[in-house]
Amino acid sequence: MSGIFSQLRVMFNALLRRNKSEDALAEEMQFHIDQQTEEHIAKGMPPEKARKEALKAFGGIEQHKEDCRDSWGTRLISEFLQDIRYGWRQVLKHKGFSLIVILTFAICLGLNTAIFNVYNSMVWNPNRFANEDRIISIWEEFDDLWGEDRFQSSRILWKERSEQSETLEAIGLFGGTWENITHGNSEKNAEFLGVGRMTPSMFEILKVAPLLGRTFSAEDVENEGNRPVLLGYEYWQNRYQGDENVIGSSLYINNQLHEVIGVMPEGFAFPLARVSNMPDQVYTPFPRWEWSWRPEFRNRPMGFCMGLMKTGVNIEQVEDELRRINVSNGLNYPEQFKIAQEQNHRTELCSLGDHIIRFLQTELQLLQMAVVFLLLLGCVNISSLIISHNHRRMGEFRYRYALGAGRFRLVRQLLTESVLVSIISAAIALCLSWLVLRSLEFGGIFDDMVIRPRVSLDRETWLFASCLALFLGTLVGFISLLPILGKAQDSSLADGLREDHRTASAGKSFKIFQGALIATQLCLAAVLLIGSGLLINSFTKILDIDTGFDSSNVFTAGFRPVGTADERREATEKFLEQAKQIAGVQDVAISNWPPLKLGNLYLRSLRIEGSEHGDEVMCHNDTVSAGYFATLGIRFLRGRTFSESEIQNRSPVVVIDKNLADLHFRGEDPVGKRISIPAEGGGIATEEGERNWLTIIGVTETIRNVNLLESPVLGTAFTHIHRQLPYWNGVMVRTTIRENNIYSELESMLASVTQKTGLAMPAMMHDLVDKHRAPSKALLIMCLIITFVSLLLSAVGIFGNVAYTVVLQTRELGIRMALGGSRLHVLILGIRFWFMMVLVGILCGSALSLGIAPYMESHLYNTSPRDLITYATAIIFLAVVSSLACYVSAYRIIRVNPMVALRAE
Amino acid sequence: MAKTANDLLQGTLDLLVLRALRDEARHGWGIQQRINQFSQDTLSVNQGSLYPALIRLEKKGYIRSDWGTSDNGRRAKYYQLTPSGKRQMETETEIWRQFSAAINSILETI
Repeated sequence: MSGIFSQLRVMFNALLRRNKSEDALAEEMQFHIDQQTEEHIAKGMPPEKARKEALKAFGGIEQHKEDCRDSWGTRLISEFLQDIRYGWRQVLKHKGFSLIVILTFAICLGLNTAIFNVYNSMVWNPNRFANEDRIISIWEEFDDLWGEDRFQSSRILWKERSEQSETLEAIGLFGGTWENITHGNSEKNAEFLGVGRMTPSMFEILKVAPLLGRTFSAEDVENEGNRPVLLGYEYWQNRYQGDENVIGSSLYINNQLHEVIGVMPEGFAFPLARVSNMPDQVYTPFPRWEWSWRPEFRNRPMGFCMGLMKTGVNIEQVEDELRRINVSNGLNYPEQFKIAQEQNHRTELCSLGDHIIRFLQTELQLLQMAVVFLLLLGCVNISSLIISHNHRRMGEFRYRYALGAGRFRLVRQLLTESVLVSIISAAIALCLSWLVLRSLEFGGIFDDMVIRPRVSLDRETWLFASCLALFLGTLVGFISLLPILGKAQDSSLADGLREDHRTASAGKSFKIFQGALIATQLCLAAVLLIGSGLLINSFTKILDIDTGFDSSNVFTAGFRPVGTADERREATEKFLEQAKQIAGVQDVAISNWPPLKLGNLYLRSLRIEGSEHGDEVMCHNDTVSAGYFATLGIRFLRGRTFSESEIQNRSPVVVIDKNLADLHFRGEDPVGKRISIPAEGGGIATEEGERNWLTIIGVTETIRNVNLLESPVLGTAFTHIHRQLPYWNGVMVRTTIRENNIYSELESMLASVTQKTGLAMPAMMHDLVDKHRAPSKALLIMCLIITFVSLLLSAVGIFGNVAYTVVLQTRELGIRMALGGSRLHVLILGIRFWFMMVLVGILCGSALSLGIAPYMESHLYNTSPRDLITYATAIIFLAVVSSLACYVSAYRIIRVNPMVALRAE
Repeated sequence: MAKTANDLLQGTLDLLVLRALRDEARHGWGIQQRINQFSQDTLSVNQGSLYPALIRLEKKGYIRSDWGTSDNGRRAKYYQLTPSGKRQMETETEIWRQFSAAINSILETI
């Protein structure tokens, strides 16, 4: 132990008190020599000779000093510090050059760090819940059941699993719906809120403590009387102004009394709730719902199933066990099990994180790929910049080499320089990435995203940026050293100093090396520009998606009519009538389902007259007033909307969308045909209702009613509100009046129609649409930034590199001119090779882009990965920049006097 | 080149230095003199190479150095054995004795 201390003490003194240590060493040696001299003198030797003898006996003082320095063991470190000091002086000396290199490096690193930060906070290390690495998402898959393949799990499956699983610590079920919420007995200001329903075990899985009060217990499910409710933080803030005495107060969900037992913390959302458009503003346990335990509901979706794996258990073990449980319990439900087997029922699972980011991952991956290419391009640019810079410093290197600096020493010093530059860049890059993300965040770009990245310079981000910078600094250093190593190797002192004058043009190997560098640069730039061009195309198309309806100037809100069926109908009709009278209102409509406003849709089983398809064909059913199509500007492809007489006579008629027509009336004209949809219930989780036949009177364009990006899988049937008055009246008004004004106008008008209800959830339709577009908008902006930077980098890099390589031939071209070569001829000769390299690079880049096209295809929306215009634009841009660079530099050379060119250094 | 007794065996210089410091603290030149003295000048070390050896031993913690005043009144760096240096000297001496005895017995028998 004391040995280590002594060693550290000696090294510490040698490093940090270097001058003192050196002085002490010199003094000690001098003392030695003086003593020896005195001894010789004492023996009668003349002083001069005595001194010479003493020096001779001592040996070379400097050599011994070097040996002592070696013994200190600090030589490497002190040389490294010396290199850093030297490198720093170089950075300061060549300010312009350093600035360009550092900025290029910082921008590329910064964008990579930003994407890393986004990825890390959303995908790899989200830290949303404790134990997130052990939480799994479980769903059921059936072939062709109702046209969808991913299903939530049923309550029976959940129960079987929670009772029998040995690999899972807890297993929960989470679902949601939109419900009417009132406070006290008044229906005034009734709200239509997202209500999350869950098993109490969800809290065991997520391990989230409430901000106030408690979460659910097993008894809460059984207690039919006083039902508990948990408030989401936002709702608590908005409705109760954050009142801490809210616990114990009551609210009504669908007229059923609920007691507030707790408030969830800020930012809490059930996993998958947002990504799947699941509402979650208040939470209740699943009611007992005796019907949900009946055998026929074993295959029916009820909610997201989620489990917490025991420590040390892997996902495959859980998968095996759940499949075994499915089969062993299936025997208790022979009929349902048979159907499930026929439909090839599979229980699938994945980690919660994978499930959540499934929606965003592909786009993120593309952005990540783009920034990696950008980084590569940046590295090539920087390498070529440093090479040309080092070329100018060749003289300095040769002198140092000639004076005895080893090749290894030179290499080390140049590597230190590039690592130093990369570390400075990393620091700037960290700030830059933070700035970019913060400004995107500040600009509200992430606001509407279902899951938001966490913008912070955390430890992982630091580590990532510094490691990447160190690695790339070394890599770039090595690449830029290659030509120098080649030159320094074969230069003796005399030759080395005359190197430049030995040949007229750059060496052949150097030329090939530079050529390869240009080709790589062009190749990377082409891939990058083509790729980001395709992405921009794709994101722009997403932003331009035709929703099938006109969202501009449409105000939406809702109210819940109360009272008897007749009172409700009367209130609704009066509202429609009087709303039309308001000045500035062009059209008004009511539906149970304003497009894109709420999450899931009502599913109904559908029967088509004369079709062999049974009840297992599903469709969405929207209940609308006649003006619905006009208000939303939905185009009719065939037929018409409900006529006045049909409304008066309550005729059994229906309007369907193109999707339903395409799915079930292939090639036939559906108008006049009859379909049947149960009027009450008939959804997935409730019982079948009475059927009667409805005649199709019109076919509309398919609209994006649930998800903006995907055209709905199922068709939609629009029935008139007189057939079944919606539980909740979604109001849509096409108006020229501003949002606030129309809201107060409509509210006062509603008050005159009925005292019992109020207008809730006001929003402009285009805001709802924008919300769905937000992720693509955020990605488009990031993509535009990347494209802009890559355009800049490729232009600057190509120009710099090509110009430099052409200039290297100044003397050669000068000789050719002096020997009488024509200008055009010399010009062509000067740029021929480089231009070929440019073409090779562009061709390789295009080929590479075509190679990765199949991978891109699935990530692009309505954009071909082989889009000719994008390819052509990128190629032409690169070709023009490179040609200009070649031409301008060569032209500048042949314009000068041949003799001046000959003397060029 | 013919080898003489002057060419010190690798590693023996450290032992000689430790040995020279057994009784009292000495400066570099003193150590050198001491080695010459007990080897009757047959083992004169290359004087300058003494100093890297001293740094090496100090790093290992076998000796420690302090500035003091020499007999002629000049400032000089004095080295002295540390307890661990003492132990090391004894171990190395023992090893050397065994080694030289083995060599001697070989030389005498063959």
